[in-house]
Amino acid sequence: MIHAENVTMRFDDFTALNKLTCTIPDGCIYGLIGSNGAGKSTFLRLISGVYRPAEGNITVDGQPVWENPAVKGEIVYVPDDLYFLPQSNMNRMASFYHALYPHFSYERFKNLTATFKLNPAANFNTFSKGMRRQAATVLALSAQPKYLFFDETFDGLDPVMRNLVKQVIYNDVLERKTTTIITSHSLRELEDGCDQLALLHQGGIVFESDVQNLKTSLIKVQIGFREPFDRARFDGLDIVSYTQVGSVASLIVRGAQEELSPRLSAMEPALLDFLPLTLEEVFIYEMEALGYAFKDVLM
Amino acid sequence: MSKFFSFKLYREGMKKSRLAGITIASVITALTALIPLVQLLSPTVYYEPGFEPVTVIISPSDFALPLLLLLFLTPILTLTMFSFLNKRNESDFYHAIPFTRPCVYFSFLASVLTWLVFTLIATLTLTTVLWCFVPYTAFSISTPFLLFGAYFLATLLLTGVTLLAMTLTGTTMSNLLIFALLFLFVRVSGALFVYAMEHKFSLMITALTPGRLLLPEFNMPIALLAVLVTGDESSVFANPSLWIYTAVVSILLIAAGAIVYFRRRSEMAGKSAPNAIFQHVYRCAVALPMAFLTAFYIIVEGYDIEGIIIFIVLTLILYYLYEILTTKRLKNCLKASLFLPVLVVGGLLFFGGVTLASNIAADYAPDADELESVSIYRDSAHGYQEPTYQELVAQSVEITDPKVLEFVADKLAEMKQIVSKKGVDAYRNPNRALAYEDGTMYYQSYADLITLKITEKSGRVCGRTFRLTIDDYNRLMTLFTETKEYEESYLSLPPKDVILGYHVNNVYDEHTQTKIWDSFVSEFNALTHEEKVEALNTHSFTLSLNVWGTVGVNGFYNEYPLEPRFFPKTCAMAVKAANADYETGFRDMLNTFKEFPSKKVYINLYMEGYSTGTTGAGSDYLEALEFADGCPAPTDPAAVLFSLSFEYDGFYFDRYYLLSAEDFSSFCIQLGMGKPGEFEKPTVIE
Repeated sequence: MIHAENVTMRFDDFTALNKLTCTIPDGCIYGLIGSNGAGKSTFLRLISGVYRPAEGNITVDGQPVWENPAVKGEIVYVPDDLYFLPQSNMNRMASFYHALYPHFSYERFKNLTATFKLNPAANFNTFSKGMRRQAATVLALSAQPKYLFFDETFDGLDPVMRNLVKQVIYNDVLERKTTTIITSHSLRELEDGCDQLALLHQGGIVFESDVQNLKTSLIKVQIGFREPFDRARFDGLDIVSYTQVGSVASLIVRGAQEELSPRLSAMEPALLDFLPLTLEEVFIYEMEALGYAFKDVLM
Repeated sequence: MSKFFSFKLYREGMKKSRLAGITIASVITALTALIPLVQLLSPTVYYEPGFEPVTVIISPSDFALPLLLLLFLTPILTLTMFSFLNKRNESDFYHAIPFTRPCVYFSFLASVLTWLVFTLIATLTLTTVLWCFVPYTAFSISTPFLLFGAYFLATLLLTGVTLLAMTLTGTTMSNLLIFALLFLFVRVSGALFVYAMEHKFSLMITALTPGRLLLPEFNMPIALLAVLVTGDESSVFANPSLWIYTAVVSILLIAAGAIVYFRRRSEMAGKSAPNAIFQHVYRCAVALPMAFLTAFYIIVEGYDIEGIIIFIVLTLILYYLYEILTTKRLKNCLKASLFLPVLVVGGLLFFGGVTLASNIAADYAPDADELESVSIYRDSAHGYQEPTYQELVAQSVEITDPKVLEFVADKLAEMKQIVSKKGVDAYRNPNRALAYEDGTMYYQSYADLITLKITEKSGRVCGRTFRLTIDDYNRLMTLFTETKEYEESYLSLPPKDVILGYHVNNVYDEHTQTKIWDSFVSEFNALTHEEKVEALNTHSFTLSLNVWGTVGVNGFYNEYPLEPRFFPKTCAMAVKAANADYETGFRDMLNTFKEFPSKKVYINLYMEGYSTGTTGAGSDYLEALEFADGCPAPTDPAAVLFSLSFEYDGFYFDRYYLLSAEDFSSFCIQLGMGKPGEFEKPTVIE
């Protein structure tokens, strides 16, 4: 389990993270979204032991990460800006990772390299940006760590390869119960695979939720009546957003369809539709409820 | 897993730097091996046509000259190994791996040192083997070991400086500039201060103060390069204090680099300084030595406006160039200008500091009752030639005699008075015209400068160079020699356990050299006290016995003149040995004269400090030379020792003669040099 408590990180006058507190449970795929400069990479560097927090504590399995090789041996951090040894290839990097990480598996490396159809003997200079990302993912997964951190990993991958990379990562989580943190500035990248999502803004987590709960927490209702009505007619419902055009109103309501349906049907509406919300829409409404303009946070 | 070292990481470090490591090792080994190989393929280098081959002693600096390249390549190797400190993604990677920072630092450092040691061992082993096969060359068995030690320490120091520079900064350009700053700032600033102070008050001895550590020669890489110019091998290879100093400074630099690295943030990579304040500090520090140089120029050359302007402009160029090169932003120069007063203050402090320090030094004149002891001081590190064994031993004798202390206190007071009224130059180079009672003028005679180490009762040690009149000098020497301990040490010969080597003119056989030395010691010990004093103080170098070695941390070099009247047997032995090695060559030369009697030859005769020469056809000298060749070397104490130097067709040849006065006279007449006593005496060999 990763636990960050009141973590603050400053770069000269700029505060990248401000009293951030969060807990990431074991075996979870944790999606961290935020705009550029929100503090996503800084957070990953902190929990990888690259940075030491100016204030606060970060523990992994109850132990501090900073200067703790035993803990860092269980963490592989795949940064946005990848690093490979100069003039090397995947085989050389595998040997390098083998020297660095205690659980590195050549067998897994071989299988994953074959899955991605990468030539392990080819120089990295001949690899495209996407291939380099795949190579970095292969190396990270072959190290078989307990914690995997991916920073903007899906950038530069074509849709087919993006899905393959995601699939491989998700399989690893399923097989080995790896705790994985994936950052992105795009919510759509993360909505289909993460167990938990957090929104980072101006150095703090402004919103954090279980994805399944999040998806079912809000529902869009379109309802119409023959007689005139207004918002007061729906008193008693936890309405996040309300718009009315003529005799039809659109409501974003907190709650499950099964619970809301009998209550609204009892009002004998001329029109009643329950529409699922995309995760992005849920985020938008939740953020608005918290007083943030979503476009300011994520655009 | 050790907190400080990981073999796996060390091995990866070796792999990471193998391209640089193997290239450096191969290039240096190949270049170094080339020298003995060329000698092997062109043996004529060590032959003189018509003469016997000469065995040449290969000095440490000539043994593996291209090793000097390693001094320039060591920073590059270190930069390659720790290049991750300059790139953000690499820096993050190496900070994220499961090893502690000390472990990464020391494991990679070990990789660098391994390549350096590998290069040194490969180079020196191959070169040693090759030199063994080169005919007519010889080298001391200690040479490869001395070279290994000296170069290892020099490269260790350079590695330490490079590491500290790399951990303090985060771009290659700033690495290099801060490297230069760390390597040279203290050295250049300190040396400028010391030289400026010595210029203002040249009677002080820096070597007796902690200031000696600031002098350029107290830096192994610079010292190794300086040997190329000075040829003074002993300043590097027989100077343990330099070795110890270099080792200590290297370890301190590596430790400082480690401390900075442990505290360094990964995001420093790509930045020229950790923050704006450090950027100002680095920039000012880079330009400060130039500001000091400007002040130094004013101290040495006076207020020469053109020169001062040039130095100021150079200082400004360096100051702004650093900013532009490290930040690559021209507009930063505006902000940088705010700190220009630092350079002005620095220059003024340097100027004021030198003036104050030299005034304090010039004001030194303690009373006799404040003095604890006095000793004669000689040190090769202070620009003198290497001290003799006697001087080295004698300088350890502390004279506490009140008469000597009083004499020295008086002379210090006199020095203070003259320097304050007329300046240092008036004291050092007096041209004091005096008048006899009858009104005729004469000039006061002065002895050589003499340097004394003065120890006060407070423990303070000070060195002063005195210009004494001959009378004062003799008085001081008399006072010194009245001290039994001083006298004994001054008249002693170096024991064999401190001697590193001998050399007698034209004699290269070690066994013969040792026999000559043993004979010399035996004859010296049989001399009376007065004869010993005279034998050691004579200045005739027709034939000399040279001995060198080390006492403690200091090297010595003695050139004992072989005077026939003191050392008749040794002299005869040396003449025989010196001529024996050249006998065949001498015969060949005579044959050349016979075959080509009109060949012009120049003959120069050296004797008792005088030389005279004559030119003529070879046939003119045949009779004289043949006569001399048949003349057995007499052992008469009144014998005349001289050498003839022949020059023809660009070749030189020395031959030594020990003749009776009568034979010498006729010999000279036959050579066409005139009768002895009628020699011109233009060339006084000092």
